[in-house]
This record gives sequence, C-alpha cells and structure tokens, in this order.
Amino acid sequence: MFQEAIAKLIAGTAVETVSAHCDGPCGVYDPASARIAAEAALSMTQKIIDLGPAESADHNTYGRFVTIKEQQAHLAKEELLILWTDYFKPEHLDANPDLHEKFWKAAKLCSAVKQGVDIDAANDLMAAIEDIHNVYWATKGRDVAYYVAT
Amino acid sequence: MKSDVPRSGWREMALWLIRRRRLFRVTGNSMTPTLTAGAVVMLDPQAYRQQMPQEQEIVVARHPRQDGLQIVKRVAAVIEGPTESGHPRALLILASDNAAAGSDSRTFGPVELDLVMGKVVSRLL
Repeated sequence: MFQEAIAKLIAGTAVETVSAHCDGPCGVYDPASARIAAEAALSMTQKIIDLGPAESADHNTYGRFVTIKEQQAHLAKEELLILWTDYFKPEHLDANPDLHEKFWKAAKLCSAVKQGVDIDAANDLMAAIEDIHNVYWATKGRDVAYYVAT
Repeated sequence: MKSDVPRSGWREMALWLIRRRRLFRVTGNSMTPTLTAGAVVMLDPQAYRQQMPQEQEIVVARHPRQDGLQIVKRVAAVIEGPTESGHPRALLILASDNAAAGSDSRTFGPVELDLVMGKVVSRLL
C-alpha cells in the first residue's frame, strides 16, 4: 500500500531513540525494607540529639551519625518509591483512594528526616510506613503483623 | 485497559512535514506489546502546553537521573502535588506496559512534568 511505503520512508529518517528498557522483574516487594531504613534513620536522629550540641560533640562521631542518618533516610525513600511505582497498580486505588497521598507524604517525610535532625518527622515517617504496611498486605489478602526491630 | 497507538495517517505525516511532529525509534521491550523494539513513533511536542497529561497516555520523557536518555512510558497516574510557592506541581508515575518486566520507576520514581517532551500520538512502524 502506498501510504505504508511512505510511512516506511519517513520512519527511515528517525534518528532519535527512546528507551523502553526493562529492569529485572523479581516481583519481590515488602514494606519492611523501607521500615528498616526509616527505623535506622530514627535511631540515628535520636543518637545525634543525645550527642548534644555539634560544637562540643566529637566531630568524627557527629559526622558519622549524620552520614548514616542521611543514607538511611535516602534508602527509605528509594524503597518507598519502588513500592509505590512498581508494585501498586491502578486497581489498588479503588480500595485505597488516598494511596498516592500516603506515599507522597511518606516520601516528603524521608526528605525531612534526611535534611534535618527532626525526631518528629522521623516518628511520623515510621507511622506512615506502618500505614503503608497495612495497605500493602491488605492488597495481598494477608494478615501480616507490623513490628519494629528496636 | 491499555490503549493502542494508532498508525500514522496522511494527516500525521503532513504534520511531521511542517515540523509539528517528532520521530522516535523505540529500543527495548518494556512497552511490548503496544510498542515493540524498532517501532517508530510520532510525538506531539505541544500536546501538554494547554493541558495536563492524562492517565493511560504514552509519553516521551527525559530520564530524571540519566542525562541524554529519553524514555517512552505510559502514564500510570498524575499526582497534583501540594503547591510550593504558589506554583501547582504535578508528578507523573510512568510505567511500562510489559507487566512481566517489573518496571523502570524503580530507578527514577515519580517524574516532574518538566521532563515530559510530549505525547506519543501515532506510530509509523
């Protein structure tokens, strides 16, 4: 067909590419990974507060605590984003219309925990993850008790 | 329900001639079966000047973390963010059609609207 031939000619001029790359489809998701990271960030936040003012604290210890807190808060955010974007599907929204809101807030809390020494934000993040834990396991029809390590 | 991308007709080709469409060749298979590797799609770069992307539309976006990489994905959700300094923000959740392929947001999370280059409106091949 003539139109098909023209389409092929035009298509031959396409030089830019767009990637539709796939990641590994392991399909293993668990909010626990976010919880562990958030719990570590909460613990480090408390330890930094316990150290007292930055001027008088041991600089090496202080710096190390801050680094770990930031790494764990960042990790918690990444784990939440993976769960949000990879696991949850549009059909889950029917039962949980505020799903996006929950994840949005939890991700924002991760940023707050990372940026500051904010024990309230760290505790709020743990509560947000517990909430997500309940939503997640409900979508799987499983009753999995929430727990923390400390 | 995942919508198909219609084949480019004469009108689309004419729009391409007057530079209202851009062509992209798809690499990879995460958009299978809608777009297989090697497909050539037409992008409307002006589609989102007046309106927001809608769920189920297929878009081309710049990868948020990898400079120079352009990705083609389906819009799974549009999240109107809380306003920051009065500017409404929108974030897009982009997903692959190939369900078996896990996905991609694993590496980049929600995507800012600024990174969206346009809407895939038809395919030549």
